[in-house]
Parts: sequence; structure tokens; C-alpha cells
Amino acid sequence: MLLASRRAEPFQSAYFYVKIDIVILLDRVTKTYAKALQPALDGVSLHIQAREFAIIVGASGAGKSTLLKMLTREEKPHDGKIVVGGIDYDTLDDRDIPLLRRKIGVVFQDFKLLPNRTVYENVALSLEISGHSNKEIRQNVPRILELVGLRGKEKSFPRQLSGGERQRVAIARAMVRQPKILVADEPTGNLDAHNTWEIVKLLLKINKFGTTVVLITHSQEIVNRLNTRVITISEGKVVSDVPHGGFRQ
Amino acid sequence: MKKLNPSGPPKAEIAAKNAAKAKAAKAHKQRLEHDRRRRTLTRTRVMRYGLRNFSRNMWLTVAATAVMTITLLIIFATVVASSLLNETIKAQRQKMDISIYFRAETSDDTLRNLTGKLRVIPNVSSVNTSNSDDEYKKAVDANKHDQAYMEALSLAASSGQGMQLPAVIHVKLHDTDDRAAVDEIITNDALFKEWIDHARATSDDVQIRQNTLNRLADIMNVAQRVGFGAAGLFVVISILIIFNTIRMAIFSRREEIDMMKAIGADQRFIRGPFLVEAELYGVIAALVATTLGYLALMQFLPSLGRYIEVGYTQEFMIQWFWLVALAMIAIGLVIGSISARLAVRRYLKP
Repeated sequence: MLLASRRAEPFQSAYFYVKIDIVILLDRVTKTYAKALQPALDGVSLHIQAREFAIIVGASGAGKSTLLKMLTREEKPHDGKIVVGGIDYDTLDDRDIPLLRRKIGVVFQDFKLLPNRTVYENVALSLEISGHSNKEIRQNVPRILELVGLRGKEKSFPRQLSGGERQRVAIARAMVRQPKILVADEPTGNLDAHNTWEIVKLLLKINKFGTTVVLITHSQEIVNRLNTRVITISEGKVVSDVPHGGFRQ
Repeated sequence: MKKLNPSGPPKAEIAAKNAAKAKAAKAHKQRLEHDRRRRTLTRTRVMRYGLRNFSRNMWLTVAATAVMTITLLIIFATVVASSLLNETIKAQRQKMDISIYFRAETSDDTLRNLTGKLRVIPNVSSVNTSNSDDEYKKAVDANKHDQAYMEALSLAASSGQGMQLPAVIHVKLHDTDDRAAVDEIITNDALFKEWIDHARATSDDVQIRQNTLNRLADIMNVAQRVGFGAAGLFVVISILIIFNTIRMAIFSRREEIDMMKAIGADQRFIRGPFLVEAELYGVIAALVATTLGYLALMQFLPSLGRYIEVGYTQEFMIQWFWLVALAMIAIGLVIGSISARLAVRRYLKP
């Protein structure tokens, strides 16, 4: 019932939402930066289900990046509640933030790869950080590189790769830990049309394997062609949230 | 209504419970083991990253290690020098004694009595007696190559008077500054008054040399203080320089750090490599400084030995080489780790 209407509802317990398979939940989240006149996020409420592919669109400065920072706990909201993957951020200890981030895969516009490490090492780093054994690394890294279509490039350095390939490395790094949620922040912002579609296709593939994908973008083309849920943010507010949306100005 | 069961729960239930408990305990043990393995793994990885960082910024590394080496060398030199000086002064003090002269005709019994009186003074470390004849023999022995002296002796002997040398008691003190008790007995004791050779004053070896030695000790104190002051200053300087090196390393790797944080690296993983890097500066500097320090010792100690007392220090440094090296490494580690911790705390906010 609740899911049918995507309105912001006052709720009793996060646990309830988790049980019905909501992996991302924001309830009237507000964030104002110091010295800013307007809040970056102004009472944003939304929930995203498991295995959903959701696009968040909005002009630059609309609050998309702030939203991402909320999800990865880089910033704390001034007001409102956030529950991701069953973790209520209100009860999250600062020391456990790394553990939270290991549960969410994040992909950035500028890739954020280590320039002096190979493709393999960049992906392996993700597993090293979370304390996976060398054996697990040897097993999982080639598998994920295969999935993103980078087989044979293990020993290349990021500078030897095209933009699209670099983004694949970043996606592989995010996905190698098999997170339930993948958040991609303008992953195609630096790519040409062809590579953009390759990356979007890859994200769709990942989503098909059961990962919830949140794609943050301002590309009208992606939005129009994908025919999936679109959440539009403007001036820190959710202005529309449609299951099969198109781009709205 | 619940049935009362006086015999307790049935056996099967107990067995099931125990099995569940055992299973839980086993799972817990496995989890602990797993955690332990993870921690070890992370530690090795952090070490590896630290090593990589160390070799990445060669010039910064060289500068930081050089300053640390100088610091450790100064500490080494200060400690060795103060040990040498202390040893020299101690040896000099041990050589000092008070010689009390008695008339030549003082009998051995009387001398023994006099000696006994001196021995009971707590500050007296040793008393050495030699009567007139002994002194004569000593004089002959000491001057047997001195023709003129020997002639004078035989002349004196042939004149029938013989050579009358006074008997002597040599007194050594534990604390050379405190000779009141000895003075007291020399001037006031009846037996001493009776037999002491008034023609010869008690030779105030102690008093004369004491002044020189005290002055030497004062100089040594100052030198020591300067040495330790310089060592302290250099410790501070090297902490600052390593602090700065690590700070620069943090700044130059800012993006990398942000990225690591974004993909879920915890404090240990982010800070660890910087700490390892700085501690490596310390260890390498310690090895270099120990080598240089020992080479310098081997070079200079033998020639220094002509002027000052080096035996004890030399023996100690050779016998405890490993201990000295370990101490140097420990100091290097502490300096490196303090400065890196300061830098990391200041510039790597969680």
C-alpha cells in the first residue's frame, strides 16, 4: 500500500520499511550549507526499492550531489531521516561509516582511479580495503573485469585507457564487493555518446543481476531513452517522481 | 496451564540445547579467527603501502632520513661523550688520596692503631699504610735509574745517619667532597697529634686536585647540558621536518585519500601507510647513525685514550652493540611515529 503511493509518509520505524524491501529511504531530509540562502535539500522524501533502477535528474546545483553525499554519509542532514540498506543513519556511529560505504558502490564522474596502479590493482584495492583475502581477490577481480568487458586490460594503467574504459574500471571497483546498491554520480559526464551508451548498458546489466542502481545525471537523452523511474530534483525539492518518466524542465 | 515437570526438561531438549551452544561457540571462534586473519592481512597491506609511499618521494625521503640521522648521531655522540667524561673524572677521583706523614720512628703497632681509627670512618674507602722502611725501599725502587739520587742515598748511609723517611698512611675517600671526619681525627685525636710528622704537612692531594677536578666537573656539566640541549633541539627539528614531510605527502595524495575514504577505507587503512612511512625514516636513520657512530668511535677512541679514560665506555659499546643499535632504532621509531601521528591527526580528519 505504502509503495503504491510514493508520498512522504510519517513513519514509525525504519525496520518496517526495510522489511518491505526498501533499500534507500529518505524522509523529509533537509540540508542547508553555511552562508547559503536556500537549503541544498529541502524536505526531500523518497524511497527506492530493491532491484530498482532509478534516475535522479536535475540541473546543476539542484541538490543531486548533496543527495549523494547524504547517501554516502559525507554530509549529515540537518533534519530528516535516512535509512540505507537497513542502516538507520541516526544510529550510525562515525566509526562505522567505512563499513556503510563498503555496502554501497559509488561511481564518480571523474572516475577517481589511482593513476599509478594498474586496472587490476585499482579494482583489487576495493577488496583489500574491506579485508578480503588474497585468494578472494584473485578469484573475484578477473571475474568482475570480465563482466565490465575489460578482460585483457588488467595490466594497463588508467592513462592508457579511454574514458569509457576508465569508467568501467571504476564500476568494476564499485561492484567487485557485490554491493546491494550502486550509486553512479554523472558517470557519463565526461564521455562521448558511444561510450555513454556502453556505460548505461553496463549499468542496466548490473541492475538485471539484482543490484539497485541509482543513476544521477542531467542527460536528457539517457532519461528519455531508458523509460525507467525518474525522480526530478529542483532547488532542493523533489518536483516529480514518475515510474516511467521522461525529462522534465 | 503449564505442566510442572519436576525432573526438568527432557534429555533430548538438553542435548539439543548443548549442541546449539557448541555450534554457537564454534561459530564465534571461527568469527574471531576470521577477524584476526583480516587484521593481519590489513596490517601487511598497510605496511606494503607505507613501503611504496616511502620509495615514491625519494627526495623528501632522503631529506627526512638525513635530518633524523643527524639527530640520532647527536644523541649518540652526547651520550658517549658524557660517558667518557664521567669515566675520566671518576678515574681521577679514584686516584686521589690524602697522605698523612708520621715520624720515621713510628712503630708498626702504632701505625696499625692509627689505621684502625681511620678505617671506621664511613666515608673512607681504603687505607694504605707503609712504614719508614717501606718508604725507603719504595724510594730506592723508584729511583734506581737515577744516578745522582742513588749516590746521595749511599752518601747519607755512609755518614751513619741513614735515610730517615717518614711513615705514610694513604687514605682514599668515597666522596672526596666530604673530608671533615678525616680532618677532625688528624687535628684532634691524641695519638695522631703525638705521632704525626709536624715537619711535613698532610699532603692535601685531595684539596689541590679537588679544585681542578671540580672545575673540570663544572665544565663537563655545562658540556653535558649543551649536548643534551642540542640533542633535544634536534629531536624537535626532526619532528618538525618529518611532520612537514608527512603533511606534504598527505597533501599530494589528497585525492587518493578522498577516493579511499569514498570506497570505504577505514582510519587504519588511510593513516597506517603514513605512519609506516615515517617509522621507516626512523629505522633507516637509526641504522645509518649507528654505523656512522661506531665507525667514528673506532676511529677516534684509541687516540683519545691517551688523554682520557676510554676503557669502560669502549668495553660497554662493544659488549652491548645490539642493545645500542636497538635503542637507536627505538628512538628513531618514536620520533618518526610521534611526528607522523601529529601530522595525520592535524591533516587527516576522519
